[in-house]
Amino acid sequence: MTSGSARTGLSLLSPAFLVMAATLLAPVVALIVMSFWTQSGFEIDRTFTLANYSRLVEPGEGTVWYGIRFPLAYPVPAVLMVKSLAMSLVATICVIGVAWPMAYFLAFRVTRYKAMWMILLTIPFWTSYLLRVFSWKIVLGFNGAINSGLQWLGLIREPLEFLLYNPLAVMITLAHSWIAFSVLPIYVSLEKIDRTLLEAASDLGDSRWKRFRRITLPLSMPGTIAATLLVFIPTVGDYVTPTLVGGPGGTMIGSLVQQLFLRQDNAPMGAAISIVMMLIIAVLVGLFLWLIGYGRIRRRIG
Amino acid sequence: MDDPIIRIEGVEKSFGSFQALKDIRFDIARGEFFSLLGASGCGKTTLLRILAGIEQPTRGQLTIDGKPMAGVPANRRPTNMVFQSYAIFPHLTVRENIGYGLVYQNLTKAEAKARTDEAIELVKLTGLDDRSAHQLSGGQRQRVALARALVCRPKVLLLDEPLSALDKKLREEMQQELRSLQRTVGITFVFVTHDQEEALTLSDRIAVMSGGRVLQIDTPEGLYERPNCREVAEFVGTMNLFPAQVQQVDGGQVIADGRALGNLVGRSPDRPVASGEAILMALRPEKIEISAAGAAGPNSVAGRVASVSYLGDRSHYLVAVDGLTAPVVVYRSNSERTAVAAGAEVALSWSDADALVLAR
Repeated sequence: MTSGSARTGLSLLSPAFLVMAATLLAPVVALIVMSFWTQSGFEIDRTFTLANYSRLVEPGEGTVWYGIRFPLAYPVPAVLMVKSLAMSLVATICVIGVAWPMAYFLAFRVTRYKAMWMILLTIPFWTSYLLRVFSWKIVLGFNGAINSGLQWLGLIREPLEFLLYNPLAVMITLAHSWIAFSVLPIYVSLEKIDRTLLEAASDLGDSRWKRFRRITLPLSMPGTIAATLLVFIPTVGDYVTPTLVGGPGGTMIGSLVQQLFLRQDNAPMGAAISIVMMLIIAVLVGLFLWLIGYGRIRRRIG
Repeated sequence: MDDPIIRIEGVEKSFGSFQALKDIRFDIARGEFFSLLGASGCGKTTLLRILAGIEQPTRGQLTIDGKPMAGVPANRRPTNMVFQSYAIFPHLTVRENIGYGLVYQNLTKAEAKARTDEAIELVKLTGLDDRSAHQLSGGQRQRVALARALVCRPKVLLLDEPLSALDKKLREEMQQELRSLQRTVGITFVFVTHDQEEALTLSDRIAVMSGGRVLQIDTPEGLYERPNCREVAEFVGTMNLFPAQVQQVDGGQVIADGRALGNLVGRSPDRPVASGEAILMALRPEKIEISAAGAAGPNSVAGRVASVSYLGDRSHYLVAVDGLTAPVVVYRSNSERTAVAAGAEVALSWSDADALVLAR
């Protein structure tokens, strides 16, 4: 019985497992192997070496970025890593800040036509990711919607140039792309809250605000945490958005990796940077979960 | 009633076009164990939620401890509630659950801890302080819900079918505990239940509800012995009903024509009864004597035993009587050794004082 159901389980899992192995595990292994090689021109030298990793931490004259000193011989990756993490963090906070009230509204205020609201939420996804990013170019651009609008109103004479091609534009675009994804997990955790718990809290003396802080917010944590990670992890490594709306000032670590692979002919260095970035994100996420006591939350609520 | 803890005056509640409560008015005395009894959908829970302030009445006035409750939200009322699902906060421990409402009581940390300890002990949950909700059994959850409400020292404790989720044995145990707990703390309990036996066991007084109305408010004994209508009579215990027509009202007695059953004599009700009125003679199963055949005189009918159920201390008989569609139910103590077998021709008889006259 047990071995039978185990076999059924395995055979059910195996398609997903095979796909995962082919598309995730294999590339990561390839990346790890490659990061120990070197490249000159089109030639790849397959001798094992830690040169790529040591180059990342090799001390040197370095540079200063927003008051932070990076005393490294090759500071670009380090600077871009910190910058990417910071930009993703800001984008994630914006996403959660916007998505949370939307999810709350859906879970507590909408009583009819919930499915319709859900479909409305997914409408932006009916167009491609590229088109959505491009549309921000149209909104923020030199002759874009905001500039033309302000000019038409007579508030400005010359178009504003600081709207596009900078970190702010990247963060706005990233936040917009990910909001819909983060509404769902938060919505599910809010929807799951037994409404009697809220009545009980009021009965025991909570005002509406206190009740929100003591019951609704803590019980929504699993979904909120899931949404946070769902946005933060993929945005750190994004390179499409910075390439399209970031300009020279808005580049992120993903842009560097892409350049190393395709333009600078240094795939092994790109691989090493990717691996380091992955590890840093894993450590940060682990630290975040430990700090908020995720294990305890999951044991209690999950 | 002088100085009642709760006064309900003409409370009505509508949900859309559905009228859940119709002109409810009664008082509940201080320290009383008061039950709202009725089938599901009769409005008893809605009334309890109105007392708690979770629902607002559409019309009417509610006064608790002398203060009108209109516009007073649930969190400012001197009431606390034990929910049917218990509503234990899943992200908090037993201790945190029980102490939840104490933050609003202006207590020092030490006082709050002492109050919580006392409540944990009162409901016998000592040693389970750090458990969370999903580590508790149904009975334990029920105790947490009870302690969490009692620890706030409400003027009125509202209980919404708190025992319905427990198995029979645990339920009977908890009934005893609830009753003695109520005597210990001296708080007024308003208890909602659909279980008439539970209501009879626990309550000082019971309001029987049906279709959004209160049918009768009385002590358990009063409800059982003197139901004021057919619905109450049938909801509380079992009642045999014989259709009859009033012939004569003579002082405390009503003499009626029971057609095939012959003349029936019963105790006259509080309301006036007119000659010629169609009535029901109502008889509790344990008030009927069963004997060997030979029916004669009023309040005596012949029948044949259709079935016998043996219940240990007593037996239940179903007796088929000519002229009645439903068999007559008779309970008989098994301390009387003379057994009556199914199929036997018997005579049923009862005393005038045990027969009640109810409106048809």
